[in-house]
Amino acid sequence: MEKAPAVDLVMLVDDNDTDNFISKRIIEITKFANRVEIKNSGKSALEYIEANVNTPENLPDLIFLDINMPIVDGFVFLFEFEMFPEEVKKKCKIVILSSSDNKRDIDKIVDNEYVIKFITKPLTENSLNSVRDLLSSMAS
Amino acid sequence: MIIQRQKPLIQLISNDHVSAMELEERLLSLGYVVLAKNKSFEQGAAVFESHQPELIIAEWDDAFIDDIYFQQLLQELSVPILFVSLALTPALHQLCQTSRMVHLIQRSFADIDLHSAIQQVLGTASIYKQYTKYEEELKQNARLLQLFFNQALSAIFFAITPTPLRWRSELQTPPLAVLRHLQETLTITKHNRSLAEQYRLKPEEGLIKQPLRCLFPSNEIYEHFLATLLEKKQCRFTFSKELADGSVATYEGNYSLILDEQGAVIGVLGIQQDITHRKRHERLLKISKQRFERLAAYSPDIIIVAHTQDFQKIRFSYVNKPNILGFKEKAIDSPDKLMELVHPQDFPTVRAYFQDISQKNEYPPIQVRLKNQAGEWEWFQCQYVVLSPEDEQEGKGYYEILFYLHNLTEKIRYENQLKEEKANLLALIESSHNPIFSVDRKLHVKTYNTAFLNLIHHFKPALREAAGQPLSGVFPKEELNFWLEHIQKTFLGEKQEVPHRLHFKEKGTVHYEVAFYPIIEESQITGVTVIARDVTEQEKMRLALEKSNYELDTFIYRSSHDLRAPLSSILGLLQLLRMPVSDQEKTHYIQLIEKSVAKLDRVIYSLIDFSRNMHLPLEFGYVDVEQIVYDCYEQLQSLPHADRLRIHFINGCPEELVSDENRLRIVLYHLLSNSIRYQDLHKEETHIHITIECHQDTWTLSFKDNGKGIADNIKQNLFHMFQRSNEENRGAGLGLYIIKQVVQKLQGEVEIKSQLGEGTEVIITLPLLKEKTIVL
Repeated sequence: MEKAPAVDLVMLVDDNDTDNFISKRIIEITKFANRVEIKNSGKSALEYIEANVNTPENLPDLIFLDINMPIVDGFVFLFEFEMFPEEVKKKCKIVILSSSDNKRDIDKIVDNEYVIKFITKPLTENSLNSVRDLLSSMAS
Repeated sequence: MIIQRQKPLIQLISNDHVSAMELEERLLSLGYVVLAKNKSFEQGAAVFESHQPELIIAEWDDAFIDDIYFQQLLQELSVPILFVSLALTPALHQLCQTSRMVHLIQRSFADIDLHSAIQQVLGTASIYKQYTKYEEELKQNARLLQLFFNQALSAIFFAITPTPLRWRSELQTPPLAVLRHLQETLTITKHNRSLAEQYRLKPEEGLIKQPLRCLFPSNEIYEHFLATLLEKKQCRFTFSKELADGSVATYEGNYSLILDEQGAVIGVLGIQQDITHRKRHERLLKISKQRFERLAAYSPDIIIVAHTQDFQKIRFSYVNKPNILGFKEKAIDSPDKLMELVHPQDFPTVRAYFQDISQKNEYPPIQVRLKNQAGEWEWFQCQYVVLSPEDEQEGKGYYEILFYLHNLTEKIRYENQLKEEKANLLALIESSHNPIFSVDRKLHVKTYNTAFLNLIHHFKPALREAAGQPLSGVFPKEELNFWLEHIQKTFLGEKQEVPHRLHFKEKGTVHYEVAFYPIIEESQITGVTVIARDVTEQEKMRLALEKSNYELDTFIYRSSHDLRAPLSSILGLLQLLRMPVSDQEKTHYIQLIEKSVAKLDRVIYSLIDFSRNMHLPLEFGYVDVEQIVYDCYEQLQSLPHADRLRIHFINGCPEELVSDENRLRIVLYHLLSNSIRYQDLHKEETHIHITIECHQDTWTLSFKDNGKGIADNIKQNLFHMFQRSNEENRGAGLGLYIIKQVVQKLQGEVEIKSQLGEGTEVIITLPLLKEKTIVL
């Protein structure tokens, strides 16, 4: 049975092009989202959101955020994300997508109220399903 | 006619003139001298007084009895009276009976009768006068005797037997019958007050008529006393008796037998003293002597009592132990023998000390070494005291000399040991580079080492001697509290270990670990020892260790991340491969898998390089830098656009270079890898200039490219682990970190000059090694 897309727009933030490609393909194949926006640095991701503050339809419903990136890493991104207006933060739910499940990272992020989930790479059909369930439970 | 050699003067008294004439005539014819003829005693009194006749002849008249003069004369009759009478009247008879000076001649009598009567009267009177004189003397003596008897301090008694006894003198020991008889019959007949007092009798009581036995404690002793006395006639005897009041008295006396002219025993005379107190003193003296000897016997010291009369010859009469200095008993019996054992060095001192012994002065003790039987030297403190004899007349009696030899061997040995230990301790303290000092109860510095003095010189450069200084005298105000507080805490009994920091102008901050230990003497804290251990090095090492631990932690964290990243990519791609996708897409996935594997491979290589640098020993040899660069370039051909980079190599060094080839290879590999990956592809051509230059002691390797360059805000952290230079950097962030680590291992330095958009120059300076050397 064909499922409806969980979200409209997903943003992938990762410096690893291969990983972005993998994530994009699995999202497309599982029809998790209608659209996928790829940003290969934290900096360009922030710039995109900044540019679309006033066009909410272009703001992602879900951000898959990598931690380990040069210069603006996942932590810096989350710090900067705090500065956005409330409606932006409300709309953009964040899922951490990291290659390590290091406890140090999890502890650092778990307090952040906009991060709804922590997923270890690679992004799979199963993990996307669990995000889908989480989002629907949050909506109801 | 009787011829009188001496004519006695006679006074005649008669109221009958005829008879008076007749008597005068007859007396004259007999050759006597008649002084006067008086009718009565009253009339004759004056002549009697003035001429002192030798005889009064009076014609008896009973009326004389009433005559006052006559009666007066009779009272103190110094001249005999011869009465002439016809009849013997009762009054006359009575008179003749009562007075020995009154005589009678009855008429009628012949001349010769008168003469013999006169002669008899004169003779009697003469004897009587003599007798009276003796009697007076006797009375006087008796009075004196009585006085002595009563006043004597000694008790005196007589005991008499009513039946005197004799035994044959050739028998030395009296027969038992004599003893028994005396034992039963001797009775005290006279004694003085002292005897009663000796036996604690009441003033009204006495011992007269008591058997002699009652003075003695028992029949046995009484019998023994009598037997001795009978044998010796006179003896000294001592005995004790329990008295009625329960006390025991001791008596000593001289006793003698009283014998009559024939040698028969009449009784016993005793002169006896109560010697109870004397006995007690004697006993106490004996006890104290015993005590002294017992005490002396247990003393570790040598105590000698010596006697001498003239100080020429001194003999030991008492030594408190049998074997002094291990010699056999009585081997050392004089000061001369003792002198033989004196150490040669001490000999003059000892001789001088004993020289004045006859002066009886007391000198302070001297220390002397004596050789014991085993031949070892023992230390003694020697002193003597001379006691004068009781009878201090010259040449009489014995002087007593007390020698006291106090054994100091142990003490001196301990003292020397203590001195040595103290010296050792001081040397030990001194040898420490850590400041050490101790304080006493008054918080004054006692002992300290040079390191401590050097430390104090930072605060008080002028201080030369710290001993005896109060803490405030060695520490400045701002420091004093710290030391004072912990020393005072330590005095309460607890050891303290406290970190402390001091700042010095020259040395900077010095870290100390200060330990405060209580000094305990006989369970009392008498001071505090303070050891300030310089832990600056350890502190530095600790910080370095902390840093390296952190780095290691980060390294593991990041490398696990970097190792896992390509793996998770591969996993993701494999997942996609299983999806229903076109063959063209599958081919793309496989290419991506290959790319990830290559990336994983590079990360692993980097880690191996890193590990090799850390653990492999340095191996120096001649290196051909250019060859290594091209080898590395070969290896890096798989990187995108690797062939675009032009390499220009200039070697300005005349000699062959010496280095660790493996490590140099790591450096060159990563430098080249960076230059290839961060080429600025917008530029028409990309190149790298590799220049080698030699200097005095160093050589430099310069890598200058025209790549992207590095932003200023990144530069300061360039050499940190996993640091990546820009947003597009897809590396692990290990390159420069590994370069830095390796160059440090090679005792060199790395410098980076870079301009964003212009390019980057990495300059590595390494020591110029002339020969093949191996430095581990």
